[in-house]
Amino acid sequence: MTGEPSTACPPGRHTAPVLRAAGDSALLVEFGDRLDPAINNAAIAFDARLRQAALAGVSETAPTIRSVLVRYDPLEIAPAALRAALTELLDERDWLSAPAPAQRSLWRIPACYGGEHGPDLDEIADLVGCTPREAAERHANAHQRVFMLGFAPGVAYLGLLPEAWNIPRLKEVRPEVPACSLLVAIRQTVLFAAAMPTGWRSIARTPFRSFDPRRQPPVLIAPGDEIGFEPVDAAAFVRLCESAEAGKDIVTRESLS
Amino acid sequence: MLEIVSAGPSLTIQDRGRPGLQRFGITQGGVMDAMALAEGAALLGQCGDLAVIEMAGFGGSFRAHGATLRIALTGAAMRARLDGQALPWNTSFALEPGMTLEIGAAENGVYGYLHVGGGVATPEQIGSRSTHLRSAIGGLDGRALAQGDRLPVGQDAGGRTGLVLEAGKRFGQREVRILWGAQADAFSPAERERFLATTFEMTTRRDRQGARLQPAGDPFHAETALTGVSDAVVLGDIQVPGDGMPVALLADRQPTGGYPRIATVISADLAAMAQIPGHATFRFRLVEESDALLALGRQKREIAELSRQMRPLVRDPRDMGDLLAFNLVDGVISAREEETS
Repeated sequence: MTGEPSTACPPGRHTAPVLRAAGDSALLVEFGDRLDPAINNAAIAFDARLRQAALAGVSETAPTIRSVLVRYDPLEIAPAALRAALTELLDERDWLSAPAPAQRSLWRIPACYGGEHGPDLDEIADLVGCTPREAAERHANAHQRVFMLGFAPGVAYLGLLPEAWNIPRLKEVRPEVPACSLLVAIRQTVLFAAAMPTGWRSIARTPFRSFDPRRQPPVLIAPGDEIGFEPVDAAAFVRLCESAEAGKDIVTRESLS
Repeated sequence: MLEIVSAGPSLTIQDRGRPGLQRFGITQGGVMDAMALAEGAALLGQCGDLAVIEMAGFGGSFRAHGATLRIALTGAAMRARLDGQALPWNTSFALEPGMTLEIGAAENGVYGYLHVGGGVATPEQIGSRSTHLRSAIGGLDGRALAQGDRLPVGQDAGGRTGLVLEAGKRFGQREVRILWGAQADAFSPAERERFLATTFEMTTRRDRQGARLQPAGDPFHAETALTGVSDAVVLGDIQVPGDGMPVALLADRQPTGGYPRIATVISADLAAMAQIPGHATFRFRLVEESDALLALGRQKREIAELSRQMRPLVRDPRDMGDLLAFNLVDGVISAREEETS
């Protein structure tokens, strides 16, 4: 084994799946390089298979938008042995035809669009080519898929919005948007759990805490789930924030299986 | 109870962190220098899972309340004084109520560690006491320690103090071993060669999340533009953002990222990387995966042998104000153990 990357496959000409070493204690099983529900389903399904297989020496797996991270102890399982075990599991089926996860949910999450909670709504509507009211409605009703939890605790990458929403990132990074902001760019929505700097535009804010360390589990939504937003006004937003602070459920969950 | 009489700019409570939660966007975090955690545990003869105070660049002053506390200091050597008397680093000693332990600036690295017998016993949050400042979890209310904080201390099983360990070889190490990263093939062979031949300066734009590295030559550029669809990142990844200035991703790194990672620091050199002082220069050296595993195995054995490497602290008594604080002779058990037995 050498330290060379496992493959010289250039982005955009991807033949899935690909195993890539990520340091001496992790491998990435890559199913593609695009934001694509089929690629995402493959990653989610293979992650579930790995959890079921419980390979000795593997300490953790995590699905991303397009791959599965496999962390392991190389003193317990040699990299070559792990690669062989992963290849065997990969050969079990065509993972790119895997369906969406069986146990998935549709979440309805309140969100306050525009105004101080979504200061970029007007600009977003201009870019999309509709009125701010229509932009809020279309975004809320889009039923976006959770592609990944990443970046920070409970931060959800949602998509894909229609092509009209292929709006660019801001040229300058904003020093901070408040916690629980909904940000949009390039046909995606990011649900931020904490206050963060960002180059994306802010369309709304939700009283829902996608990450709450007091809750068990701290993160409720899972990759493969779908999310619709329920527009609420600023007064309802304040009330719902208080309910969330008090630990009450302010979202609804419906099984999609 | 341990009182923070004064605090340097970044004292945080850390342990091994929160492994296994990357699927929720929760990064492992934990100590920047895992060797230092093991060294402190060995000096106090206790479990390496207990929480410690990590001191970035500068310490603070500390006082015990109630019972005498056993203390060990490891990691980057810092100027330390116990009631005004100079203390050697990498030692264990007793901190009696009324005494003041003062810890100053780091001299040969960045992260110093204060270990206490029984461990820092702040509440666990999501399975760990580690502070993750950005998410405001762990530690004391998810924040850095401040003047006036009083930290609960766990039950100390007791044991000897006045022991010393030699400073680890990682301090002063200016060659960091790497494997090519998961996206190294986005860079041309020439650009990768240049990466290996370049001397880097550790900038002061660094924290627990990552460290920006200043190359002596031009910035680095990926040949094939990535689609920018985020992927998982791992501890020790060297990512190259748009400006071409590499960033080493450390304990509190984001769990995912969209920039290409040209290289990944081998596990055995993560502590050495974290401890490179600001403005120091260093280079990366490419190794084979098998070398990385040999180095990791060696480090694991070194940790297992730490308790046999300890020796009693022998000092010139004329330099010492309080021999008792060191329990020099036969390792008198701690006052705390006497109380509880």
